[in-house]
Amino acid sequence: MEPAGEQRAGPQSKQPRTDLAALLGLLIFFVALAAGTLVTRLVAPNEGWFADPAFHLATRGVFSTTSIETTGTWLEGLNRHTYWILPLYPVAQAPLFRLFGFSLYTMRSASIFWGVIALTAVYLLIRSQTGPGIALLASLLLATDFHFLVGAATGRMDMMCAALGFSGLAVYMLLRQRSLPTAILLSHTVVAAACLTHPCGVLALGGLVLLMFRFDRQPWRWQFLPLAALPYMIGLAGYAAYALEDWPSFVRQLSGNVSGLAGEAAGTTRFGGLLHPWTSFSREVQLRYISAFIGKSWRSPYRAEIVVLLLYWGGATVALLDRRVRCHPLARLFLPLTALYFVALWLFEGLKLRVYLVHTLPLFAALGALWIWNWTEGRKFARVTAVAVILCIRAWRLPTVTGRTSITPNIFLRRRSCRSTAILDL
Amino acid sequence: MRFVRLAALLCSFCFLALSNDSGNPTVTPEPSLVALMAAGMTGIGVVAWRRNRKK
Repeated sequence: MEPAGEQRAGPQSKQPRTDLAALLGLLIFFVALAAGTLVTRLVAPNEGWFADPAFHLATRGVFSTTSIETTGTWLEGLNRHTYWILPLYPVAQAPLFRLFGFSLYTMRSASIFWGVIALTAVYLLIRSQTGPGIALLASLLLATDFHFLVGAATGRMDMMCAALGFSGLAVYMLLRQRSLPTAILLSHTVVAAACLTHPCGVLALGGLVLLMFRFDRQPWRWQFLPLAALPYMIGLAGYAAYALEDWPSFVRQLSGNVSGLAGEAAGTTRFGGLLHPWTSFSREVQLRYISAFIGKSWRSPYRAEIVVLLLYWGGATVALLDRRVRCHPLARLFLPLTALYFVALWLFEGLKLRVYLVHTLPLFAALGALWIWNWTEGRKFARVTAVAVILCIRAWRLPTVTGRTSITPNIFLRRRSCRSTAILDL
Repeated sequence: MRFVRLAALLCSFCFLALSNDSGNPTVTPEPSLVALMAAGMTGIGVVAWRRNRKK
Protein backbone atom coordinates (compact mmCIF):
# COMPACT_ATOMS: atom_id res chain seq x y z
CA MET A 1 0.00 0.00 0.00
CA GLU A 2 2.75 2.41 0.90
CA PRO A 3 5.36 3.45 -1.64
CA ALA A 4 8.90 2.76 -0.61
CA GLY A 5 10.98 5.87 -0.09
CA GLU A 6 13.94 6.45 2.13
CA GLN A 7 13.25 10.17 2.39
CA ARG A 8 9.85 9.62 3.93
CA ALA A 9 9.67 11.20 7.35
CA GLY A 10 5.95 10.81 7.94
CA PRO A 11 3.51 13.11 9.64
CA GLN A 12 4.50 11.84 13.07
CA SER A 13 8.07 13.12 12.90
CA LYS A 14 9.77 15.21 15.60
CA GLN A 15 9.09 18.83 16.46
CA PRO A 16 5.39 18.90 15.66
CA ARG A 17 4.97 22.17 17.55
CA THR A 18 7.69 23.89 15.53
CA ASP A 19 6.12 22.64 12.31
CA LEU A 20 2.70 23.87 13.37
CA ALA A 21 4.11 27.26 14.37
CA ALA A 22 5.90 27.55 11.02
CA LEU A 23 2.73 26.66 9.14
CA LEU A 24 0.68 29.15 11.15
CA GLY A 25 3.25 31.86 10.50
CA LEU A 26 3.14 31.07 6.80
CA LEU A 27 -0.65 31.22 6.75
CA ILE A 28 -0.63 34.60 8.53
CA PHE A 29 1.92 35.88 6.01
CA PHE A 30 -0.27 34.63 3.17
CA VAL A 31 -3.39 36.29 4.64
CA ALA A 32 -1.49 39.59 4.96
CA LEU A 33 -0.37 39.46 1.32
CA ALA A 34 -3.83 38.43 0.12
CA ALA A 35 -5.48 41.17 2.22
CA GLY A 36 -3.24 43.74 0.56
CA THR A 37 -4.36 42.42 -2.81
CA LEU A 38 -7.99 42.41 -1.65
CA VAL A 39 -8.13 46.11 -0.85
CA THR A 40 -6.21 47.36 -3.87
CA ARG A 41 -6.96 45.11 -6.83
CA LEU A 42 -9.22 46.40 -9.55
CA VAL A 43 -12.60 44.77 -9.68
CA ALA A 44 -13.37 42.14 -12.30
CA PRO A 45 -16.79 41.96 -14.04
CA ASN A 46 -17.12 38.35 -12.86
CA GLU A 47 -17.24 39.53 -9.26
CA GLY A 48 -20.40 41.50 -9.91
CA TRP A 49 -22.01 38.71 -11.91
CA PHE A 50 -21.34 36.10 -9.25
CA ALA A 51 -22.29 38.35 -6.32
CA ASP A 52 -25.69 39.01 -7.82
CA PRO A 53 -27.35 35.58 -7.38
CA ALA A 54 -25.93 35.34 -3.87
CA PHE A 55 -27.41 38.76 -3.08
CA HIS A 56 -30.86 37.72 -4.29
CA LEU A 57 -30.62 34.46 -2.40
CA ALA A 58 -29.67 36.27 0.80
CA THR A 59 -32.33 38.99 0.54
CA ARG A 60 -35.28 37.47 -1.35
CA GLY A 61 -34.64 33.74 -1.27
CA VAL A 62 -34.49 33.44 -5.05
CA PHE A 63 -31.51 32.31 -7.07
CA SER A 64 -31.72 34.85 -9.88
CA THR A 65 -29.27 37.20 -11.62
CA THR A 66 -30.49 40.63 -12.67
CA SER A 67 -27.26 42.47 -13.42
CA ILE A 68 -26.86 41.06 -16.94
CA GLU A 69 -29.02 41.96 -19.93
CA THR A 70 -30.05 38.58 -21.36
CA THR A 71 -32.76 39.26 -23.93
CA GLY A 72 -32.19 37.25 -27.09
CA THR A 73 -29.11 35.45 -25.76
CA TRP A 74 -28.38 32.02 -24.34
CA LEU A 75 -28.57 33.64 -20.91
CA GLU A 76 -32.30 34.29 -21.25
CA GLY A 77 -34.15 33.28 -18.10
CA LEU A 78 -31.28 34.37 -15.86
CA ASN A 79 -33.55 36.84 -14.10
CA ARG A 80 -35.55 33.85 -12.78
CA HIS A 81 -32.99 31.04 -12.45
CA THR A 82 -29.18 31.17 -12.36
CA TYR A 83 -28.14 28.09 -14.29
CA TRP A 84 -25.11 29.31 -16.22
CA ILE A 85 -22.77 28.68 -13.28
CA LEU A 86 -22.72 25.81 -10.83
CA PRO A 87 -24.60 26.65 -7.65
CA LEU A 88 -22.37 26.02 -4.66
CA TYR A 89 -20.30 29.23 -4.82
CA PRO A 90 -23.25 31.68 -4.72
CA VAL A 91 -25.01 29.43 -2.20
CA ALA A 92 -21.95 29.65 0.07
CA GLN A 93 -21.74 33.42 -0.44
CA ALA A 94 -25.36 34.14 0.51
CA PRO A 95 -25.06 33.49 4.29
CA LEU A 96 -21.82 35.51 4.34
CA PHE A 97 -23.64 38.48 2.82
CA ARG A 98 -26.31 38.17 5.50
CA LEU A 99 -23.73 37.90 8.27
CA PHE A 100 -21.14 40.46 7.19
CA GLY A 101 -23.06 42.68 4.79
CA PHE A 102 -23.10 42.89 1.02
CA SER A 103 -19.73 44.15 -0.16
CA LEU A 104 -16.81 43.39 -2.39
CA TYR A 105 -14.69 42.88 0.72
CA THR A 106 -17.01 40.21 2.08
CA MET A 107 -16.88 38.39 -1.21
CA ARG A 108 -13.11 38.59 -1.54
CA SER A 109 -12.53 37.70 2.12
CA ALA A 110 -14.28 34.40 1.48
CA SER A 111 -11.75 33.71 -1.28
CA ILE A 112 -8.93 34.39 1.19
CA PHE A 113 -10.50 31.88 3.56
CA TRP A 114 -10.54 29.31 0.75
CA GLY A 115 -6.94 30.24 -0.07
CA VAL A 116 -5.95 29.38 3.51
CA ILE A 117 -7.80 26.06 3.21
CA ALA A 118 -6.08 25.32 -0.12
CA LEU A 119 -2.65 26.15 1.27
CA THR A 120 -3.22 23.97 4.35
CA ALA A 121 -4.54 21.11 2.22
CA VAL A 122 -1.51 21.24 -0.08
CA TYR A 123 0.79 21.30 2.96
CA LEU A 124 -0.94 18.24 4.44
CA LEU A 125 -0.94 16.45 1.10
CA ILE A 126 2.83 16.94 0.82
CA ARG A 127 3.31 16.01 4.48
CA SER A 128 1.56 12.71 3.84
CA GLN A 129 4.60 11.79 1.73
CA THR A 130 7.58 13.61 3.15
CA GLY A 131 9.02 15.71 5.97
CA PRO A 132 8.11 19.25 6.97
CA GLY A 133 10.97 21.00 5.15
CA ILE A 134 9.78 20.36 1.60
CA ALA A 135 6.16 20.88 2.64
CA LEU A 136 6.94 24.29 4.12
CA LEU A 137 9.09 25.31 1.17
CA ALA A 138 6.36 24.33 -1.32
CA SER A 139 3.77 26.18 0.77
CA LEU A 140 6.01 29.25 0.88
CA LEU A 141 6.42 29.20 -2.91
CA LEU A 142 2.67 28.90 -3.27
CA ALA A 143 1.78 31.51 -0.64
CA THR A 144 3.90 34.13 -2.40
CA ASP A 145 2.82 33.22 -5.91
CA PHE A 146 1.28 36.16 -7.77
CA HIS A 147 -1.44 34.12 -9.47
CA PHE A 148 -2.33 32.19 -6.33
CA LEU A 149 -2.62 35.46 -4.37
CA VAL A 150 -4.83 36.99 -7.05
CA GLY A 151 -7.01 33.87 -7.01
CA ALA A 152 -7.32 34.21 -3.24
CA ALA A 153 -8.36 37.85 -3.46
CA THR A 154 -10.85 37.69 -6.30
CA GLY A 155 -14.57 37.10 -5.95
CA ARG A 156 -14.65 34.04 -8.16
CA MET A 157 -15.23 30.38 -7.38
CA ASP A 158 -11.82 29.11 -8.54
CA MET A 159 -10.10 29.23 -5.16
CA MET A 160 -13.06 27.58 -3.43
CA CYS A 161 -13.04 24.83 -6.04
CA ALA A 162 -9.27 24.32 -5.77
CA ALA A 163 -9.41 24.34 -1.95
CA LEU A 164 -12.14 21.70 -1.88
CA GLY A 165 -10.32 19.65 -4.52
CA PHE A 166 -6.97 19.60 -2.73
CA SER A 167 -8.73 19.05 0.60
CA GLY A 168 -10.35 15.95 -0.87
CA LEU A 169 -6.96 14.61 -1.97
CA ALA A 170 -5.39 15.45 1.41
CA VAL A 171 -8.24 13.82 3.36
CA TYR A 172 -7.85 10.66 1.32
CA MET A 173 -4.07 10.45 1.77
CA LEU A 174 -4.25 11.15 5.50
CA LEU A 175 -7.11 8.78 6.35
CA ARG A 176 -6.60 5.88 3.96
CA GLN A 177 -4.38 3.89 6.32
CA ARG A 178 -6.65 4.34 9.33
CA SER A 179 -9.87 3.46 7.58
CA LEU A 180 -10.17 3.14 3.83
CA PRO A 181 -14.00 3.32 3.72
CA THR A 182 -13.97 6.51 5.81
CA ALA A 183 -11.26 7.98 3.59
CA ILE A 184 -13.28 7.17 0.46
CA LEU A 185 -16.53 8.59 1.82
CA LEU A 186 -15.07 11.82 3.22
CA SER A 187 -12.72 12.57 0.32
CA HIS A 188 -15.43 12.02 -2.28
CA THR A 189 -17.84 14.17 -0.25
CA VAL A 190 -15.38 17.07 -0.37
CA VAL A 191 -14.58 16.50 -4.05
CA ALA A 192 -18.31 16.32 -4.87
CA ALA A 193 -18.62 19.77 -3.32
CA ALA A 194 -15.75 20.93 -5.57
CA CYS A 195 -17.59 19.52 -8.60
CA LEU A 196 -20.70 21.52 -7.64
CA THR A 197 -18.61 24.68 -7.28
CA HIS A 198 -16.98 24.76 -10.72
CA PRO A 199 -16.48 22.23 -13.54
CA CYS A 200 -12.74 22.23 -12.73
CA GLY A 201 -13.72 20.14 -9.70
CA VAL A 202 -13.56 17.25 -12.16
CA LEU A 203 -9.77 17.65 -12.03
CA ALA A 204 -9.84 16.74 -8.33
CA LEU A 205 -12.20 13.83 -9.06
CA GLY A 206 -9.74 12.52 -11.65
CA GLY A 207 -6.89 13.06 -9.21
CA LEU A 208 -8.69 11.21 -6.44
CA VAL A 209 -9.44 8.24 -8.68
CA LEU A 210 -5.78 8.26 -9.72
CA LEU A 211 -4.66 8.18 -6.07
CA MET A 212 -7.08 5.37 -5.27
CA PHE A 213 -5.77 3.38 -8.23
CA ARG A 214 -2.14 4.20 -7.45
CA PHE A 215 -2.16 3.41 -3.72
CA ASP A 216 -5.13 1.16 -2.98
CA ARG A 217 -5.63 -1.22 -5.86
CA GLN A 218 -5.11 -4.23 -3.60
CA PRO A 219 -7.49 -3.43 -0.73
CA TRP A 220 -10.14 -2.06 -3.12
CA ARG A 221 -13.51 -3.82 -2.86
CA TRP A 222 -16.51 -3.14 -5.07
CA GLN A 223 -18.49 -2.61 -1.87
CA PHE A 224 -16.65 0.73 -1.60
CA LEU A 225 -18.19 2.00 -4.83
CA PRO A 226 -21.51 3.09 -3.25
CA LEU A 227 -19.52 5.01 -0.61
CA ALA A 228 -17.67 6.88 -3.35
CA ALA A 229 -20.79 7.47 -5.44
CA LEU A 230 -23.14 8.50 -2.61
CA PRO A 231 -21.96 12.15 -2.26
CA TYR A 232 -22.27 12.71 -6.02
CA MET A 233 -25.74 11.17 -6.07
CA ILE A 234 -26.93 13.42 -3.24
CA GLY A 235 -25.39 16.51 -4.85
CA LEU A 236 -26.77 15.68 -8.28
CA ALA A 237 -30.24 14.97 -6.85
CA GLY A 238 -30.37 18.42 -5.22
CA TYR A 239 -29.03 20.07 -8.36
CA ALA A 240 -31.46 18.16 -10.59
CA ALA A 241 -34.41 19.27 -8.45
CA TYR A 242 -33.40 22.89 -9.05
CA ALA A 243 -32.69 22.28 -12.76
CA LEU A 244 -36.14 20.77 -13.30
CA GLU A 245 -37.81 24.04 -12.28
CA ASP A 246 -37.00 25.35 -15.77
CA TRP A 247 -35.34 22.58 -17.75
CA PRO A 248 -35.12 24.38 -21.16
CA SER A 249 -33.48 27.38 -19.52
CA PHE A 250 -31.09 25.07 -17.64
CA VAL A 251 -29.96 23.37 -20.87
CA ARG A 252 -29.67 26.67 -22.77
CA GLN A 253 -27.69 28.50 -20.09
CA LEU A 254 -25.36 25.66 -19.18
CA SER A 255 -24.62 24.63 -22.77
CA GLY A 256 -24.18 28.29 -23.73
CA ASN A 257 -21.61 28.73 -21.00
CA VAL A 258 -19.50 25.79 -22.21
CA SER A 259 -17.58 28.28 -24.32
CA GLY A 260 -19.16 31.20 -22.50
CA LEU A 261 -18.71 34.93 -22.72
CA ALA A 262 -14.92 34.59 -22.75
CA GLY A 263 -15.14 32.28 -25.75
CA GLU A 264 -17.32 34.76 -27.63
CA ALA A 265 -14.87 37.55 -26.86
CA ALA A 266 -11.77 35.58 -27.84
CA GLY A 267 -13.31 33.68 -30.76
CA THR A 268 -12.33 30.31 -29.31
CA THR A 269 -14.20 27.32 -27.92
CA ARG A 270 -13.77 25.39 -24.70
CA PHE A 271 -13.12 22.01 -26.38
CA GLY A 272 -11.20 23.31 -29.41
CA GLY A 273 -8.10 21.57 -28.05
CA LEU A 274 -9.55 18.17 -28.84
CA LEU A 275 -9.68 19.00 -32.55
CA HIS A 276 -6.31 20.78 -32.69
CA PRO A 277 -4.20 19.33 -29.85
CA TRP A 278 -0.82 20.69 -30.98
CA THR A 279 -2.10 24.20 -31.48
CA SER A 280 -3.79 23.88 -28.13
CA PHE A 281 -0.53 22.72 -26.50
CA SER A 282 1.29 25.72 -27.89
CA ARG A 283 -1.46 28.07 -26.68
CA GLU A 284 -1.53 26.33 -23.31
CA VAL A 285 2.13 26.99 -22.52
CA GLN A 286 2.26 30.41 -24.14
CA LEU A 287 -1.03 31.96 -23.06
CA ARG A 288 -1.82 30.27 -19.77
CA TYR A 289 1.75 30.18 -18.49
CA ILE A 290 4.43 32.23 -20.30
CA SER A 291 2.43 35.38 -20.96
CA ALA A 292 0.69 35.06 -17.58
CA PHE A 293 3.96 34.89 -15.69
CA ILE A 294 6.28 37.01 -17.78
CA GLY A 295 4.05 39.20 -19.92
CA LYS A 296 4.31 39.35 -23.65
CA SER A 297 7.58 41.21 -24.11
CA TRP A 298 10.93 41.97 -22.54
CA ARG A 299 9.59 45.38 -21.54
CA SER A 300 7.16 43.71 -19.15
CA PRO A 301 7.84 44.55 -15.49
CA TYR A 302 7.24 40.89 -14.72
CA ARG A 303 10.14 39.57 -16.85
CA ALA A 304 12.08 38.29 -13.82
CA GLU A 305 9.23 35.82 -13.22
CA ILE A 306 10.79 33.73 -15.96
CA VAL A 307 12.90 32.27 -13.13
CA VAL A 308 9.75 31.24 -11.24
CA LEU A 309 8.26 29.58 -14.30
CA LEU A 310 11.57 27.81 -14.94
CA LEU A 311 11.45 26.58 -11.34
CA TYR A 312 7.93 25.20 -11.76
CA TRP A 313 8.44 23.52 -15.12
CA GLY A 314 12.01 22.60 -14.22
CA GLY A 315 10.72 20.79 -11.13
CA ALA A 316 8.47 18.65 -13.29
CA THR A 317 11.25 18.07 -15.86
CA VAL A 318 13.80 17.09 -13.24
CA ALA A 319 11.28 14.78 -11.59
CA LEU A 320 10.91 13.06 -14.95
CA LEU A 321 14.59 12.78 -15.81
CA ASP A 322 16.51 12.48 -12.53
CA ARG A 323 16.01 9.08 -10.95
CA ARG A 324 16.80 10.28 -7.42
CA VAL A 325 14.05 12.86 -7.61
CA ARG A 326 11.67 10.60 -9.50
CA CYS A 327 11.90 7.87 -6.84
CA HIS A 328 11.02 10.27 -4.05
CA PRO A 329 7.53 9.52 -2.64
CA LEU A 330 6.48 13.10 -3.26
CA ALA A 331 7.37 12.91 -6.95
CA ARG A 332 5.61 9.56 -7.24
CA LEU A 333 2.47 11.21 -5.91
CA PHE A 334 2.67 14.63 -7.56
CA LEU A 335 4.13 13.83 -10.98
CA PRO A 336 1.10 11.78 -12.16
CA LEU A 337 -1.24 14.37 -10.63
CA THR A 338 0.58 17.20 -12.43
CA ALA A 339 0.46 15.31 -15.72
CA LEU A 340 -3.26 14.64 -15.30
CA TYR A 341 -4.17 18.23 -14.42
CA PHE A 342 -1.94 19.70 -17.14
CA VAL A 343 -3.22 17.42 -19.90
CA ALA A 344 -6.85 17.93 -18.84
CA LEU A 345 -6.52 21.71 -19.00
CA TRP A 346 -4.52 21.53 -22.23
CA LEU A 347 -7.12 19.46 -24.08
CA PHE A 348 -10.40 20.41 -22.40
CA GLU A 349 -9.96 24.10 -21.62
CA GLY A 350 -9.54 25.83 -24.95
CA LEU A 351 -10.08 29.34 -23.61
CA LYS A 352 -6.72 29.19 -21.77
CA LEU A 353 -8.00 31.26 -18.88
CA ARG A 354 -5.38 32.13 -16.27
CA VAL A 355 -7.85 31.88 -13.42
CA TYR A 356 -7.52 28.09 -13.61
CA LEU A 357 -3.83 28.27 -12.71
CA VAL A 358 -4.81 27.84 -9.05
CA HIS A 359 -5.38 24.16 -9.83
CA THR A 360 -1.93 23.44 -11.28
CA LEU A 361 0.28 25.89 -9.36
CA PRO A 362 0.26 23.87 -6.10
CA LEU A 363 1.46 20.81 -8.01
CA PHE A 364 4.22 22.70 -9.83
CA ALA A 365 5.24 24.43 -6.58
CA ALA A 366 5.59 21.07 -4.83
CA LEU A 367 7.77 19.68 -7.62
CA GLY A 368 9.81 22.89 -7.69
CA ALA A 369 10.35 22.65 -3.92
CA LEU A 370 11.38 19.02 -4.27
CA TRP A 371 13.87 19.98 -6.97
CA ILE A 372 15.48 22.68 -4.83
CA TRP A 373 15.52 20.40 -1.79
CA ASN A 374 17.03 17.43 -3.60
CA TRP A 375 19.72 19.21 -5.61
CA THR A 376 20.88 21.25 -2.63
CA GLU A 377 21.03 18.36 -0.19
CA GLY A 378 23.97 18.88 2.18
CA ARG A 379 24.56 22.42 0.82
CA LYS A 380 22.66 24.70 3.08
CA PHE A 381 24.05 27.91 1.56
CA ALA A 382 22.96 26.88 -1.95
CA ARG A 383 19.48 26.02 -0.66
CA VAL A 384 19.05 29.31 1.16
CA THR A 385 20.37 31.23 -1.87
CA ALA A 386 17.97 29.50 -4.26
CA VAL A 387 14.98 30.24 -2.03
CA ALA A 388 16.13 33.81 -1.44
CA VAL A 389 16.41 34.48 -5.19
CA ILE A 390 12.87 33.22 -5.74
CA LEU A 391 11.51 35.31 -2.86
CA CYS A 392 13.33 38.43 -4.08
CA ILE A 393 11.74 38.04 -7.49
CA ARG A 394 8.37 37.60 -5.79
CA ALA A 395 8.91 40.68 -3.63
CA TRP A 396 9.75 42.67 -6.75
CA ARG A 397 6.39 41.80 -8.24
CA LEU A 398 4.37 42.41 -5.08
CA PRO A 399 3.95 46.18 -5.60
CA THR A 400 2.34 45.41 -8.95
CA VAL A 401 -0.14 43.16 -7.15
CA THR A 402 -1.12 45.55 -4.44
CA GLY A 403 -0.35 48.95 -5.90
CA ARG A 404 -3.53 49.59 -7.87
CA THR A 405 -6.40 51.92 -7.25
CA SER A 406 -9.30 50.53 -5.33
CA ILE A 407 -12.59 50.63 -7.18
CA THR A 408 -15.89 49.30 -5.92
CA PRO A 409 -18.12 48.14 -8.77
CA ASN A 410 -21.46 49.81 -9.33
CA ILE A 411 -23.35 46.71 -8.37
CA PHE A 412 -22.05 46.83 -4.81
CA LEU A 413 -22.57 50.59 -4.44
CA ARG A 414 -26.11 50.55 -5.76
CA ARG A 415 -27.16 47.45 -3.90
CA ARG A 416 -25.98 49.03 -0.70
CA SER A 417 -27.91 52.23 -1.22
CA CYS A 418 -31.08 50.82 -2.72
CA ARG A 419 -32.15 47.20 -2.61
CA SER A 420 -33.68 47.19 -6.05
CA THR A 421 -33.59 44.37 -8.55
CA ALA A 422 -33.23 46.55 -11.60
CA ILE A 423 -30.68 45.78 -14.26
CA LEU A 424 -27.36 47.24 -13.19
CA ASP A 425 -24.32 48.07 -15.19
CA LEU A 426 -20.85 47.05 -14.05
CA MET B 1 13.93 4.70 -21.70
CA ARG B 2 16.11 7.56 -20.48
CA PHE B 3 16.81 8.59 -24.07
CA VAL B 4 13.11 8.39 -24.93
CA ARG B 5 12.22 10.67 -22.01
CA LEU B 6 14.92 13.18 -22.87
CA ALA B 7 14.09 13.13 -26.58
CA ALA B 8 10.39 13.61 -25.91
CA LEU B 9 11.09 16.59 -23.70
CA LEU B 10 13.55 18.18 -26.11
CA CYS B 11 11.08 17.73 -28.97
CA SER B 12 8.32 19.40 -27.00
CA PHE B 13 10.58 22.34 -26.12
CA CYS B 14 11.67 22.71 -29.77
CA PHE B 15 8.03 22.58 -30.80
CA LEU B 16 7.29 25.26 -28.27
CA ALA B 17 10.11 27.47 -29.53
CA LEU B 18 9.09 27.13 -33.16
CA SER B 19 5.35 27.47 -32.92
CA ASN B 20 4.62 30.71 -31.15
CA ASP B 21 2.44 32.30 -33.78
CA SER B 22 -0.91 31.09 -32.50
CA GLY B 23 -3.44 32.62 -30.19
CA ASN B 24 -4.44 36.14 -29.43
CA PRO B 25 -1.70 38.52 -30.64
CA THR B 26 -2.41 40.92 -27.81
CA VAL B 27 -1.26 38.38 -25.22
CA THR B 28 0.97 35.99 -27.17
CA PRO B 29 4.54 36.37 -25.88
CA GLU B 30 7.35 37.53 -28.14
CA PRO B 31 9.27 34.77 -29.97
CA SER B 32 12.48 35.59 -28.13
CA LEU B 33 10.77 35.07 -24.76
CA VAL B 34 9.42 31.71 -25.82
CA ALA B 35 12.79 30.72 -27.27
CA LEU B 36 14.50 31.64 -23.99
CA MET B 37 12.02 29.54 -22.02
CA ALA B 38 12.56 26.63 -24.38
CA ALA B 39 16.33 26.99 -24.12
CA GLY B 40 16.14 27.19 -20.33
CA MET B 41 13.99 24.09 -20.10
CA THR B 42 16.29 22.23 -22.49
CA GLY B 43 19.26 23.18 -20.34
CA ILE B 44 17.56 21.99 -17.17
CA GLY B 45 16.54 18.76 -18.91
CA VAL B 46 20.07 18.03 -20.12
CA VAL B 47 21.62 18.75 -16.70
CA ALA B 48 19.06 16.50 -15.00
CA TRP B 49 19.68 13.76 -17.53
CA ARG B 50 23.46 13.95 -17.15
CA ARG B 51 23.10 13.99 -13.37
CA ASN B 52 20.98 10.87 -13.61
CA ARG B 53 23.60 9.07 -15.74
CA LYS B 54 26.39 9.74 -13.25
CA LYS B 55 24.64 7.84 -10.47
